[in-house]
Amino acid sequence: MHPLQVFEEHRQRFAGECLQRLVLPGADLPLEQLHRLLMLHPLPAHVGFVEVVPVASGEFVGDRAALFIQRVRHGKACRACRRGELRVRIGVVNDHALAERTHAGDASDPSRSVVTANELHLPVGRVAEIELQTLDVIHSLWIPGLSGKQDLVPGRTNHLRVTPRRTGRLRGQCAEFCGLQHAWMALDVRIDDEAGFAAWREHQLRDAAPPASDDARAGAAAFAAVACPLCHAIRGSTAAARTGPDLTHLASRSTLAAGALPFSRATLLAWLADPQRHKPGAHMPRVPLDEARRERIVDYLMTLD
Amino acid sequence: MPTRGAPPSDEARVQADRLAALERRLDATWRDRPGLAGWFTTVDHKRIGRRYIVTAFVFFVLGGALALAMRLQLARPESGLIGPDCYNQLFSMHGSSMMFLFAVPVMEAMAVYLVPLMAGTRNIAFPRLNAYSYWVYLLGGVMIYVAFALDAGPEAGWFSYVPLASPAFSPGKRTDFWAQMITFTEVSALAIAVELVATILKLRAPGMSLARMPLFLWSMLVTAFMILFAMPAVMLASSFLISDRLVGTQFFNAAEGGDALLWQHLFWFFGHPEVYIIFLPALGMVSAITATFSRRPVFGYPYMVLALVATGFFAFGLWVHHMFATGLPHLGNSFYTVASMMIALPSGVQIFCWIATIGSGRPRFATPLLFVLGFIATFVLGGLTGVMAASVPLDLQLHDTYFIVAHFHYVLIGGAVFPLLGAVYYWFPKITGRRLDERLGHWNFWLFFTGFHVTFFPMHVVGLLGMPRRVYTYPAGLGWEPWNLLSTAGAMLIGVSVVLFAANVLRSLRRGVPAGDDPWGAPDLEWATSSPPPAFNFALIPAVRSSEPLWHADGLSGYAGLADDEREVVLTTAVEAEPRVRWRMPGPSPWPLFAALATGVMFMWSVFSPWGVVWGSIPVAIALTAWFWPEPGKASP
Amino acid sequence: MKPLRITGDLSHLPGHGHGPAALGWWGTLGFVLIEGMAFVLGAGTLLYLVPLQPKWPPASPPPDLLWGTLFTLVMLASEIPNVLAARAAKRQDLQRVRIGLAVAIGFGVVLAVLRALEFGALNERWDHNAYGSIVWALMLMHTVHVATDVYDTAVLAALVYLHPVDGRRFSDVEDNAFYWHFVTIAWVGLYALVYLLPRMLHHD
Repeated sequence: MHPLQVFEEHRQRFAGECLQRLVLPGADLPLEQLHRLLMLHPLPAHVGFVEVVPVASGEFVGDRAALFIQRVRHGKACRACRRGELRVRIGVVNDHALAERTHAGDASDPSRSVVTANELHLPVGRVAEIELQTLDVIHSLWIPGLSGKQDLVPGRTNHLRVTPRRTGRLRGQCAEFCGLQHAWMALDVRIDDEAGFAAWREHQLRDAAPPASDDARAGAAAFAAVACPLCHAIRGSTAAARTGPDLTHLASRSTLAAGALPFSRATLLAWLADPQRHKPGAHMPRVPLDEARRERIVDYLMTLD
Repeated sequence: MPTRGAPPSDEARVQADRLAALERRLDATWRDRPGLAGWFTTVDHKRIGRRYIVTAFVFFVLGGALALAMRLQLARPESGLIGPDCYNQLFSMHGSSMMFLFAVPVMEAMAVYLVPLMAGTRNIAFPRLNAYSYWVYLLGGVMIYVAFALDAGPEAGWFSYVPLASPAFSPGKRTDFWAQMITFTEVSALAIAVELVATILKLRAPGMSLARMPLFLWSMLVTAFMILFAMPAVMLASSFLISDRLVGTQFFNAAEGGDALLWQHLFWFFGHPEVYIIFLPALGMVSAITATFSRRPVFGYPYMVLALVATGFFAFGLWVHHMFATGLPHLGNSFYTVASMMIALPSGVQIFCWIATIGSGRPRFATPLLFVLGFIATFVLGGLTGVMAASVPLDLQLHDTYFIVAHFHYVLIGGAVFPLLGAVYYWFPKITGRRLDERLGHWNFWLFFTGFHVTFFPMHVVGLLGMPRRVYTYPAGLGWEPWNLLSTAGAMLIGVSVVLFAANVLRSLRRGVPAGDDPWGAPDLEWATSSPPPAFNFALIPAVRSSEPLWHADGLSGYAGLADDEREVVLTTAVEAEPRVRWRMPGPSPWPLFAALATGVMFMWSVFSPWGVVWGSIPVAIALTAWFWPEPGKASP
Repeated sequence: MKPLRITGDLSHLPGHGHGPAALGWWGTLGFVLIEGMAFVLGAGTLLYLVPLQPKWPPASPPPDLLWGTLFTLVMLASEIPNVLAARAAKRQDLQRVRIGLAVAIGFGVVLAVLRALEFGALNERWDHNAYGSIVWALMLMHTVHVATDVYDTAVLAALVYLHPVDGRRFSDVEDNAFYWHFVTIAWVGLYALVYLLPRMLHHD
């Protein structure tokens, strides 16, 4: 069969299933012919890029053909990775004055999903596809040092594809007026090398360690007893609500309240005492706590690194 | 006409006596009722135009004060001067005031005053509608400022994106007042647009064919058509928003089949032509000033007209450039990039024509011409940043940053306010009979020019450094501080220059040098009558034989034969301006005011209840019926 | 320099005109352009919303054909008295103008009743979904135009019966017919969108 026909057959076969996957047969197709195939059969506009699925030889994909596809579509970035898993898929779900980031490594393995808040970690040199969804008003994800912005529009999933070239730390900010605290809706972006990113992800996937000291244990108990679990989740404990930011690795972050405050014991205490004073209009209400309880809860939270 | 130096001949004296008698009878016919009754019932376009201009400038000053407050807050990072709720209302009120209560109304107001005079007729078409339009505008502006004073001002920006402006995220009546303010100002703007189309096409003096029509009239004609086609979009959008908030419709609710982007499409379909609605009248003013102060007609008349018409058309094809970051298909975005760049071409043609006019004329650098030069310098810079922003990849960085704030202030202040200030210096003698002080005018210009650039140029830089728009404060340590401080300093300078302008106006009203009919030696018909003009504008309807009637070697002559005991004007054909019909115009009437009050009640009631539209329409219907009802025994008003 | 020499005399000109020769026509034209644009944008909104739903209408049967079609037929028929009144006005035939306007008002009353019945047969509420919202919005927009048109005509009829009538009043009658034509034509488009389009899409 002519490669074009095989190509078309497989494209149609997978079209309904997963639009982001294209499996190309024919290990021996030269680059130019592959290129022409892809030009003749353009992928749907919203497909970020071609995901290459490694399959056992004996099926219809050869490694060499797979690599050729990557090069055609993505130029330099592709050379950075020749292994199976090439895609870092990131969903950005925005809530009012809160940003929740979901990292999904493998689309096929949800247990390797990481949930964090107001931080974005990316591996250098790899194409990252960011899916943007909002639960409330229109926001806009903008990391000026990395790429142009893209809005988060209710009822739609927008996409932003970025390829970080250098490791480092960048600042992102919401770029569409979204309410009272639009000014303080920032994003901490860290670009790590492969090893650093993998290590960070492994760390984030772990549940929170049980509190070691007495103070921390008292804090954990107080946390579970007052209003906190109504909104927050800490994996490894019984708190599992999704309204507020995930706190499992709170102490690993460098800012609080979407960049409104730097993270430290002192600022955490101050924030807990009266969130509305620091960020009027934030969704976190003032939880009535006496100072001792507050100190214990913060002791516990500081162990969540 | 009597030759200078020779004593008037007998024939000339008889002629002059007859004219004086005619003027007395016309004055009796066209005069308003005395005192307060006259003030409320006038349908004289000059009186209405004057109060419209003054009211618009009051909103300009108020909007500017709001901006000063914003700049004070942004002078320092993490400043606690103004909190987020107040700041969000400040910038929403600033934008709404400037766009809806100042920029469009002032341009229409200048047209209301000048167009009938420049066209050589005695009043604007539909004079009572003109009065109605002013009252409706005033009520809408007062309503939103009272709401603001009561902490119910708009908080979602002048553009009021949904879902932020939806009932779920914008509780209370703030957005409802905003949306109804839109209704007030759009009704008043549309009314004037209809009057302008009718006046410019049907009331021009005999002989003023379209090919001889002054460029200001062309720019107002194109603007009026743009208003007719653009404003319905925002009326529809704001009505949908009000009904989502008031009666639970789902236009913008994605969960029930609506779409947040529907708002943006409807709003920007209006919003982009809106800025050209503000800009085109200013281009007409620039042409008028440039011709007079270069002492030659504007170079390239046909190209100037084509440029105006082309701009008017293109303006409707650009709106998606406000939405490049929303996730629309790429190919569609490219079309709007092309259109947004193309619209620079006709404006460029006009700039070159004006430069050629000044360069090949004998320029006098009086204050009006200084403002024209300031306009050229500033608007061109704004146009350049506009072409930059038209490119999608660049816009995805620039959008919603202070770079865009800089861009649109350059094109709006550069492109509209500079010409407007020049126009005030130019036409003040005609409107008031006195000249503004030239020395103060030069100070005014240079302070305003300097203040403007010191305020807005740094915004390009701070936008490129990553500062987004609509933020009540910003973190320290990002390098944004010095630029913000500079902008605030510039804003103070602008404030000083506006105070100087107001001082010049107030002083000159009392003590300005009296202007004659034609202090500048200008070509157009408004200078062929006294300063200020009599109630009837012209005793004889001018006979126009060239594009520069007052520069025509033969001197100006006119037509007799219109009644002097009735308010009569002559209707001419739309293209060639051949006289066809003697048309009787209505006189003073209280019904426009009553109808406006009834309209105001209806609109304000419907902020609170949908039944306001139903029951409120009854007084409106009564007022409108009384408005049109002729006096007993007469056929028509 | 004021115009001081008399170069001509306008007193021979008539005091009224027909159609575009009269000023009132231009006011009507302006209004037609504005409202026409509003209808175009409303129709555009409807067409924009169609692909956003799984089907159109998303959750209800299309509006019942009976009252809408009857309304359309009566609206088209109402053109007759208006055209007759306009032609009579051009000829300055007062008697026929009076009859034409009175008959037009009669049609107007029938239209009001039919429109009320239409609203009851739309089969979707304005607050259920975006489809209901836009259909109600278009219907209400048009209803307001019909109501104002009939009211205008009633006032005009009162004037031609109770007041002296001159050439300008006759040209007012022609302008009123112009506006009525606009309301009819706008309805034809809206009828297609509200009643026929869902049925065309349903057959897919």
